[in-house]
Amino acid sequence: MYTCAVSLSNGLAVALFVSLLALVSLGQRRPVAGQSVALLRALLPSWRFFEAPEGYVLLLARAVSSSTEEPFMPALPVAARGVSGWLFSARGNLRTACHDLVDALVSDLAERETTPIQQAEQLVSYRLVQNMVQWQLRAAGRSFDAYQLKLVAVHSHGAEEELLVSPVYPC
Amino acid sequence: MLIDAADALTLAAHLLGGSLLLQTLELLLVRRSFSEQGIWTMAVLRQELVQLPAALRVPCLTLFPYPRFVALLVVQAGLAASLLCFGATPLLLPAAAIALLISMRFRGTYNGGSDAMTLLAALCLAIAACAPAYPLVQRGCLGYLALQTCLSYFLAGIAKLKQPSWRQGAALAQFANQPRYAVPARALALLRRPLVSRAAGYLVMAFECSFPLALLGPRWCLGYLSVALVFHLNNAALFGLNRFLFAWLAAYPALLYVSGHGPL
Repeated sequence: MYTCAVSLSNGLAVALFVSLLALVSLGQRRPVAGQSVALLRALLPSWRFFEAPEGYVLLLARAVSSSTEEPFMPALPVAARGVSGWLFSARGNLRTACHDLVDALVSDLAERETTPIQQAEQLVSYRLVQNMVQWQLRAAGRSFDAYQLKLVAVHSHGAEEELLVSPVYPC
Repeated sequence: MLIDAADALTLAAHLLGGSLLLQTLELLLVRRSFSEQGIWTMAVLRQELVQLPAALRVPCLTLFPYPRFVALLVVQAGLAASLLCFGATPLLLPAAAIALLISMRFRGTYNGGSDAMTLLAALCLAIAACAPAYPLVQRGCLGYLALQTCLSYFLAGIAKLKQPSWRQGAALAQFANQPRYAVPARALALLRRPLVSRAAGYLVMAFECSFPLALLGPRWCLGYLSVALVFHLNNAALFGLNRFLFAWLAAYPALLYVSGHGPL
């Protein structure tokens, strides 16, 4: 009797829940607004993962020294994943966080549609990406006096589009 | 397999402790990245932290500078270890607060959805652990955590279903091709086969969209949780999303409880 009652109440709960889910999933997603809300966004998850694969943005950087000017290379090297990576991956997750920084910059730039480089340089996301480029160049053991960064959108059909080229920044 | 509220709470707290410990140790290992010579420097972050309301600004500006933030991580590692050993205690409350501060130090999240699930589990379990004399509050917290866990799969599934690339079976291969995930070469070659990509994509959508059925009863729930475990293990191995595995694992006892007893 008790089992039947629990099954029935669970069935009803699931039906109610699925109705609620249908309502939620039909609703429009609103972008997070406001500084405090943005920093607290872990409390407001959207639960949408791997949603749209159409293209990605590549961060390129080059080290500039008095004697050489290297070509642009991907700023975030591909990390080899060890066998224990499924359990513990400090470097892998740091790399993911670095990619998220690039995404945040692209999103900030997209919000403003056209952004002169002087205005982009005032963005926190831009300054963090600058830090990241210097960090990655140092981590690669490169000696450099200056650096330059570039954002390139790679579309799903393979075409590339230059989004931003920075000036050369002295270190 | 019926599980009561107290057991669900204890088991979830043990699992959350393990998850928090792994996350904190990972951050401690890369601590130089948030020093003043690193990436997330206070010199840059201060620009937006000073604009916060005082209730948020003061703790952030006090605790976020480099050596103090490392000390905060060490405290979090200690709290996580105690949760791992002793289960649900009021220590969940400071652990949840520090988890929130850590997310804020990285401008919202360090690792996307896994931070959100960790925080959600920590807050629900903290409230439940602080109200041992109120079974209804405990059951409510477990119910909320279970419903959010269902939502996390269901909404992810619906979002995919709305995308033409997922319906056409190309999405998984396109994600795997992105350099950010560094998918192992052998798996990448497999996912580039249209039939494999399509079959895997449809399996993922079917699993995610039907996940609320896990609430029908403990057997359904155990079945779904077994599939979920394989799903997260695959995500960890292929896409490097190890934190998601442990963050979601901590919420499973709540689901198991609700599947047997109903949401309240």
